[in-house]
Amino acid sequence: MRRLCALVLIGLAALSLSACGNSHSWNQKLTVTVETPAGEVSGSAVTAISWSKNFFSGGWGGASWHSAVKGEAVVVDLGGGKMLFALLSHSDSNDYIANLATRLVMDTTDRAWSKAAFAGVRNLGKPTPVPPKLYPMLVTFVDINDPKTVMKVDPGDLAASFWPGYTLKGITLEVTSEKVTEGEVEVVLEWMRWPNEQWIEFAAGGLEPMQLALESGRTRSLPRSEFKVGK
Amino acid sequence: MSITKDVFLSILALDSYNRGYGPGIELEDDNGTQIGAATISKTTIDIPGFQSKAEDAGFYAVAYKLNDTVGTGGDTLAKDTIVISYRGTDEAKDVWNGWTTIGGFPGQSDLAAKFYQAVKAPNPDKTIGLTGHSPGGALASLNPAAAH
Repeated sequence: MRRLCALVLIGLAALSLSACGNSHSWNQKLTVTVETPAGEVSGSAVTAISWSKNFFSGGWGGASWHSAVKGEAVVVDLGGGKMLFALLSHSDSNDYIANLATRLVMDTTDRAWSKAAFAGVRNLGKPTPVPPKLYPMLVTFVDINDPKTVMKVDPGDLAASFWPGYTLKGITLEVTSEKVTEGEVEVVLEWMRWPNEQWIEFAAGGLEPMQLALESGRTRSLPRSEFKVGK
Repeated sequence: MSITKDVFLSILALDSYNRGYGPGIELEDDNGTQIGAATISKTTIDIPGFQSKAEDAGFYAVAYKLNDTVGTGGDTLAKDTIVISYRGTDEAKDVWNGWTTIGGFPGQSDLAAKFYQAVKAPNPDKTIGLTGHSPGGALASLNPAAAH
């Protein structure tokens, strides 16, 4: 029995060593700038990104790298009670924010987990324009106190969601030593502080309360973790 | 071309690795919503307040609705059957939260039961089938909610 326990412990130790053989981590700041008739307004959020080589890839079914993210969506206060949010997700990628820096380095919308991609992230030390193909999902609320009123914002036509003269000037990303942004989303989205039980009760229909209509005609659930993730 | 029920369930068991967070294969447009005769009706992201807990535990599941009969001979899954596919091991946290299912420990098994209940509640009269690969198979076969 003691031998069996020892074998199990050795096996688990070997497994953990294999699982943490290679990793990369950094803090990054995403900044969204909007041009308004009264001038530019912008919002930023710092997220912590870490990637680790996944032992359980290939034949096991998992991706070769796994990410962990801590941070919040970018909040841009446009005035008049209107807020623009750049989410941690994207309509085409559930791991958007984790993949953004390496994709930006390699100028691709595909996975970019090569040595060159991770090494290149270190060169994003100053604000680097994010091309439209890598934009985050932008959303706003008709009523900021009602999560069910969430709606997608077209980055090419902010006026349709806000007011005439409002345009997206640009989005930049930079690797930073600044601390992860915490608590700003809850300041403007009071329901982010609701306990899970209250959120489930509010849902009342068996589906996440926030539903987004996509260009494809499909509807996509928007969990609260796309506004804030990580502990 | 017809496909046997077992092969189709195996395909759905593997499909759950390629959807949602940390997919094994990443395709365009959220990987679509259709695979053969099955259309995705619900995933962990659709259950209120569920996604964070699921990701923390390394859990993921998909519910498909069949829009046609699947199978050959007398061994078939009827149209409108709902099939839940539980993802198996694809990251280190599955060792702690998933492999221990077989020993009766909670974690992913609790989430598997909750996901089943969330799918069953709005579909009380529908037949629900379960599938899964590796520990996903254990989550399917040891699901306490489905046992009732």
